[in-house]
Amino acid sequence: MTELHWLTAAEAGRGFRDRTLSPVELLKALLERAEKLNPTLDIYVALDADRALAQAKIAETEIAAGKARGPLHGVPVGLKDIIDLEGLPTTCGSKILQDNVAKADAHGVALLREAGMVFPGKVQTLEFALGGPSFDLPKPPSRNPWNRDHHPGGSSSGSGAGVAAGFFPVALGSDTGGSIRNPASCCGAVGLKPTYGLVSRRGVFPLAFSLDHLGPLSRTVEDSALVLDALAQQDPLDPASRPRPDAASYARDLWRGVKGMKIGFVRHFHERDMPADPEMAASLEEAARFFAAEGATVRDVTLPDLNEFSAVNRNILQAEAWTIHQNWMRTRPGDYGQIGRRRLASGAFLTASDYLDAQRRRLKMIEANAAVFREVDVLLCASSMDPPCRIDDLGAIAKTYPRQARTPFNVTGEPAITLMSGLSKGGLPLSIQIAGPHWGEAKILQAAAAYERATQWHKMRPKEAA
Amino acid sequence: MDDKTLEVLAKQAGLDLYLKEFPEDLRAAAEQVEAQRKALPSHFTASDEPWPGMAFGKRSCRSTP
Repeated sequence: MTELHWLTAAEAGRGFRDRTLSPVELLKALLERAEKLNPTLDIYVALDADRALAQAKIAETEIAAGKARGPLHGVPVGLKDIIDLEGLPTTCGSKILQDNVAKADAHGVALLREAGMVFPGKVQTLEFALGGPSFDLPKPPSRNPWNRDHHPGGSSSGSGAGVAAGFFPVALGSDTGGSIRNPASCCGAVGLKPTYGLVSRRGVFPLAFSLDHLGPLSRTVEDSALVLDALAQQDPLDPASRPRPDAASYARDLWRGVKGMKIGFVRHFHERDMPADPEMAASLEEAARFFAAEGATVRDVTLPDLNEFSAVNRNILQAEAWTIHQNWMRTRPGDYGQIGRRRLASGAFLTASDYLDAQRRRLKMIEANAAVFREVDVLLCASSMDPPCRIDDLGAIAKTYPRQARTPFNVTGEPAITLMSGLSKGGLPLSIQIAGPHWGEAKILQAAAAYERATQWHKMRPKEAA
Repeated sequence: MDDKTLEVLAKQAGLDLYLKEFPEDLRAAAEQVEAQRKALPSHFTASDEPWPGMAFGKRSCRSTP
């Protein structure tokens, strides 16, 4: 029998509804696990066990009374510490906001609360979703459950490490330059960045308005689809929020397979633009062969240069982040960690024309990607170019952090999902990324689910969380 | 970047305190932007569309604090 902490959200929800498991029993098991492992993995930054137990008891009572709200009712979810959960601090991992207690739930949290989910607490983030991993902040950085000496990725580091270590089956993270998909890649989890505008960012501390996305991390594709089903509702108070163009359920349509699907393989990202680690490259080739064997048509496609995508993302991110942080940078520079202080100050040196040039390039890139998506249904490409490096090796982090292919889909706003594609010789996760056109979540989830079901990489368990 | 230029740019941005307390961090931030500018030289002319989208939202997005 599966240990309780490895149950997926879908399995737990089914267990609650057929009365073989109770939300209180699951939550208690997960809290015990957190008590045992948090001192070494540094995932939770704030726990609210009493309120979470009360939520789980209510869920138990409602389900017993035949009032189950849906597949996520009673299921615990971890929240990145830039997302407001009413009554708990939203510190953004920084001294700057150490006493900032949320007065209301973020829009996404409110939707998950309506779905009956349980909120055990807040999990670690890189400072303001950008600076780190840092050891000069109020709380230490999260560790990678596959090897705690290695970086778990960021900035949704606690979300990725937490699902991989069995602290909760699903978590929310944010993604401005890859921050959902990076920890998912580093920790062997699933990370989904939806289409820009599909999920409201209200109540999520911004990093860069035109690049920020909110989305799920999980151990399975199905669980990310279930959470996205709950999150994808228009919010009139987020100016970027748009109505979902179709009423289909991502989770219900998940198992359609890839037969007949047209898949564009963006080989130049990891072969020409940023040559990848050979094991990472091999796992991408293997994934392309898998899709072809399953009946998809796989062919090479060309997008704009990955380095240009990254540069455009960086300029826009830094300029927009500066508008948010400029006053604190002027008056409280010592309250930032060194990495965050350096990264966030860059925006002060960008000119208006740097920003506008980047935005113009961005429009051309959106057009270029859209042209490719007229020919294919989804893209297969790298997520990270390297397995995660040591967390204490700042040189290696500086070198490997930009070596990724996630920023293109922040620049264009297209949806993208990362998932595990193997283990390196060093015992660390490898990953692939599948991206789609705007509002193309259903297809990328279907492709990811087909790959996951066939490869079963999601059933591998990290050694630090054994 | 020479010290004088860094000082002028820092003061222009209101970063006097930052410059006093963390001059090396500020230099690293400025040099990062210099490197980015070299990696992404402007190649636009006035007639080279597209211009950035200028649509605005109906209401502002609430965030903490």
